[in-house]
Amino acid sequence: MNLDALITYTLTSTALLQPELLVAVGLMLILVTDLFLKKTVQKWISVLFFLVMGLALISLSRQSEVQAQVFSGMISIDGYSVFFKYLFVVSALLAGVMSLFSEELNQNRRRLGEYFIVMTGMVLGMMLMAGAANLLMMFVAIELVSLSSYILVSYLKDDKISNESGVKYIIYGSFSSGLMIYGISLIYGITGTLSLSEMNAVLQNPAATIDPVTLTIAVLLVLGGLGYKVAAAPFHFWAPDAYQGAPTPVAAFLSVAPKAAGFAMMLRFFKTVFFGSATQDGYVPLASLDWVSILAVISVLTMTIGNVTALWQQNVKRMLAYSSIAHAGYILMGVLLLSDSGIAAMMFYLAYYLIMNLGAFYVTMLLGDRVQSYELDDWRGLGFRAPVLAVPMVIFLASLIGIPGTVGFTGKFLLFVAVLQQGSLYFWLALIAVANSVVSAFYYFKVAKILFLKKSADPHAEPVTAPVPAVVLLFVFAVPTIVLGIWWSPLYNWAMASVRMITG
Amino acid sequence: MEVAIFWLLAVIIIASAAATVFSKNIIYSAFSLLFSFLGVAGIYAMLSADFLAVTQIMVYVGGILTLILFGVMLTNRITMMSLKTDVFNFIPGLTIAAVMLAGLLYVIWVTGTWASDSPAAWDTTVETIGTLTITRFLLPFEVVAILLLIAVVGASFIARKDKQKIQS
Repeated sequence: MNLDALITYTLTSTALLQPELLVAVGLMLILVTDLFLKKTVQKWISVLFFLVMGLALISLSRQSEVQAQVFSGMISIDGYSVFFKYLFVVSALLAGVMSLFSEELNQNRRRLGEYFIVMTGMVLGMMLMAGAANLLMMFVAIELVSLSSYILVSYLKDDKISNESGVKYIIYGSFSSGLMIYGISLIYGITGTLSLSEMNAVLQNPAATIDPVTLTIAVLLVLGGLGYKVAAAPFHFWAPDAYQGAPTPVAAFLSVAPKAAGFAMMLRFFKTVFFGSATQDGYVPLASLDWVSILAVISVLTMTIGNVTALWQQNVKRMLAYSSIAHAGYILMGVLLLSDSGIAAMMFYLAYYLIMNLGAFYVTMLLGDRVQSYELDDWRGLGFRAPVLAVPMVIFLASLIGIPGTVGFTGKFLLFVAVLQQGSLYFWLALIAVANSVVSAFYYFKVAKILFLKKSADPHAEPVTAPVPAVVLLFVFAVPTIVLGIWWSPLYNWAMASVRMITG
Repeated sequence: MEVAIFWLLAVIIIASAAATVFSKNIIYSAFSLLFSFLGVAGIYAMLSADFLAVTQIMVYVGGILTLILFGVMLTNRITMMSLKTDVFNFIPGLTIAAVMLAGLLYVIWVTGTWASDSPAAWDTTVETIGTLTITRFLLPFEVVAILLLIAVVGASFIARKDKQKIQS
């Protein structure tokens, strides 16, 4: 390639990568502006953050029809990745607003400049994760997200628990990155390429002699890195500790956005590399690796461990952490189904999970800030002291269980239907998932029970309120949780249309 | 000849890595890490990866290890302290490690044909790497730049001394 052609190619690629570019430029803009802002007006840096995210949304809306591979096949831009990029930007916006209402973040005249810089970097990393079509790009993007999350988790420097959870998170994270890059090196060694679609061509070639055990071990190692990002068993140990110590808006953000990014990447990896042939509603995987069974075992393990351990939790943030592990288990079922309806159900699940889980964390943050505790014992009778906050909490909890009338029911219904469509082979998987949902009702209801049915220890406790803008944001979470439960078809159809647009 | 050098390097790497882990004195650990890094650089050089070998020495030996040593030496009392190296969960840990070792050894043993590339004459790799960095791998290269920027911002934020005290 001569120089002129190279420059033209790079410029065309760059133009197609407009949303990512906007976020990257925005990051530097926030960084430079933060240097010149006086400490008293320092909170206004968030305005710039919201502006950048808003522009990214506009830029994304112009990409709905694009289907391209840019930068020598490093990144795929298709409806599938655009769907996920919307999720990341929207959740960053919501988590950003949450941060403004958080007391732990705003006390002690803490600086928020770095907070928004790092969060912007994390959004960029996740957008690249959703599109990455090359193992090297996947690894760099995942590292960008991980590194940003380490900083955000340990952002409360004057808080010992936040420091501790940050360190734990870094140790687990580096370990799984190590596993992943080892797996990548093995895959590179046996296929001789880093590009996902070329890898598929090598594996499809009947002349290739690839040892199935080597391939399985390599894929398991890569799954170590991906499983860590989505908090799937047995790589979930970091989640409770990290969520408990992190500032609550960060915990909320971590529980939805990087998880969605991990699933987006996992699905693209399996669907592109181990794609055999397409059938009417789905596709047939390559015979050389039974990754469907591997994922099925991980899925069952994840949801069971998450739900059963959550039963014993006394700390609301830890309980929500185990609940998010359990939900990762359900979502994994969508990945392993090999059908369009399964993938669409997974995307739908991730989209509404974002709203209801952010909502649950948001109420937790508001109540926790006011009671100065996240222990369930201290929340007794809080429902009568703060009905405006506690009633939406019950809605979110009902949706997390999957009670009819909430979006949680619709999403689980769509997912289970997609599982059963794949035939009786998957019947036991659906059965375990339903049993798990029943188990989960116990601990979600426990919170509702403590809020409303237990007497407060101090009978003369003051009522608890929140500022009006904070309550308005609460409705931004609560209303879609109900409305999407009934009027779900537009979102689902959009997910379905995006699935059809996955390019290798 | 080549085989002899390889085994010599391998013994140096493994022995000094073991010394790093098992030594009770942190200074000994840090210095044995030095030999481990140098040995790996030697392996890279044997594989004709000259750029990687030089980078390994510059970054790990010249940068990271020196920093570790400075950190150790400037931290008072740490030289006198005996490290607490208790072993927790000995049996499960050993089992997992053994299974992983067996799996990886099996992989190396069974896979006879690794994808390989053997050009007629080995040339310096610096130019190729440089060209690839600004052509095929341009985007990852730029993303790594942002990754480092975030790392610098985060590190300076966490390392900065604030006025308020840490509450327990």
